[in-house]
Amino acid sequence: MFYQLVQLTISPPAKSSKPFSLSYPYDIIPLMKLTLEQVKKVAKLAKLNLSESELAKYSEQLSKILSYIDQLNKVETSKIDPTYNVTGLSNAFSPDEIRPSLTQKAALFNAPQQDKGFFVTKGVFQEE
Amino acid sequence: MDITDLTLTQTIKALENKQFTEAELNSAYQKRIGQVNSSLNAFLEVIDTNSGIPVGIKDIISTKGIKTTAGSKILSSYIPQYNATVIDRLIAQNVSIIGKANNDEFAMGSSGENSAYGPTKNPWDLTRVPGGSSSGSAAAVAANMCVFSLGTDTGGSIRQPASFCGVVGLKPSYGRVSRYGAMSMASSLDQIGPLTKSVADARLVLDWISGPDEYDSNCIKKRLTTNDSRFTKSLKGLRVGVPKEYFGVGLDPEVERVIKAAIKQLADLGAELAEVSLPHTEYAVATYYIIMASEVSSNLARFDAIRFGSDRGDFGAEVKRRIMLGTFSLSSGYYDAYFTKAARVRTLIKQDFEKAFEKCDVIVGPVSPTVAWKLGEKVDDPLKMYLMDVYTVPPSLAGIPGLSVPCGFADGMPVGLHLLGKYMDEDTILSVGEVYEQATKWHQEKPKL
Repeated sequence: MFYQLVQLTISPPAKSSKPFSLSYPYDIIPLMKLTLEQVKKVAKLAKLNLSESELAKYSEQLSKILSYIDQLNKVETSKIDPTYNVTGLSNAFSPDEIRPSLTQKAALFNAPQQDKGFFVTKGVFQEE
Repeated sequence: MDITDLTLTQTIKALENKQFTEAELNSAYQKRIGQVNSSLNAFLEVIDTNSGIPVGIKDIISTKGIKTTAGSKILSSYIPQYNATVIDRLIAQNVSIIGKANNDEFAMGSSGENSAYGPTKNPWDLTRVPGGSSSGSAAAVAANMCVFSLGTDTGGSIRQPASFCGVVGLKPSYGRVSRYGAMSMASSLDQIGPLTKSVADARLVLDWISGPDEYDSNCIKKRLTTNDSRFTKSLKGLRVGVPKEYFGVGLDPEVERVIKAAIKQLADLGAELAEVSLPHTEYAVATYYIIMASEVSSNLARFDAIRFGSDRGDFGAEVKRRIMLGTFSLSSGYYDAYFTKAARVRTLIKQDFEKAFEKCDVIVGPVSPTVAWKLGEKVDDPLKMYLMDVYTVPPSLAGIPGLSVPCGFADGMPVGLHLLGKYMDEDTILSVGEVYEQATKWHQEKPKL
């Protein structure tokens, strides 16, 4: 556990001992704060050009959100399988056949830049 | 008679009986939109229709030839070249699109305030939020700007605005309705569903839009069973589960009073109440915000300003925040501790419901811990906003259907009763909703605009 969670309740305390509280955890104390460097790295991975003020803001907000999320460590899950999809379907195949699809004109319709029937992409060999 | 007051089923009947023409129907709705849209900002685009049944479509659902922005600046001029499957199915039922409904950008938000095109206002009180992310879809139905609307629900985005605006909202089971053409937010959670003026309407629209689709592999083959309702006037034989965890500290006492009165009404109608337990409820919001954000970061990687859309810098603050959170939890060194961990807790949340449904046929509770809050009240504190999703995200994680039915007012604002059903059992919650609605008539209350 990286932090201490102290919950203050906004509304008056429950009459009976209720099983849990929906109240806002004002006093989350993140002990492992996301550094500005970490936030910069994540922004680069996500291809987001963030301003200095955005980086500072997200560093604070994401630290707070991750501290709240750290409560999941209280749950014992070593023998529990993860759920990624509730339908239980896997390997849904469709027949390998040619079917009508978008025309070239329609596919290019929303492209910011096009040339001779192609999308114009950014160069892949030069650094951004 | 005001044509725009009629429900979908009433409108179809009136058209059949030639009480008015489709042209008169459309012109009545066009007139209504002209009167109220500027103060509500519910529709981003209004289409000049003069035939068909006029409906509103959330602006995250692709409509061929009609601008679809997802409430984002990045798609400010995007015109889809194909229809979502649900749109083709509605058109086959003589439906016409009268408006594209405002929403939180890429369906991310619980208040409607994250739209790049300004917030939608709540028709019951213009100083309050309509809920989100299907903000315009809910406000438009409440304000009689369309016969019904479609929204999308990933963690509550149909049910919560339906509750805040006093209309009926249904999130079908995951896999009931094809997602093809709805811009992907979180692929293991997203569902399209109706917002309507009555529960019977929600049943009819679900029947229209559901069913297998070769363009969505997660869409199940089994057809919806409708008109198979066990309950018509009485709820005798129905077992209603009331989760003890849903009535904890943080639930507004006025909302609690309204919800408890609604549960008592179900008992008065013959239902048998049983206390059930969903012990992992307290972990649902944390689980949801990891899984959803991770899937968001992956899905929104497609916005590269090459095939469509503008630069990624045009994403709004909340979208960037969720992309950042998701990218972090999927990144090397954190994947197991966050993403896999959340997926494991998701299993426990799903099992909670499976166990509870051994003791009951439906589960009831509040949709939201409070009524609609004031515009601007929570915009500076994302975590505070996320925590308002506490009742809507657990069923989303479990993939089960949820219905919000108007059940009264707290502080003059509408409150929705949350009816949760077993996986793929929309029929029972719709039947219960219909019996409750006929007994109470809360759905006939309209905002004075």
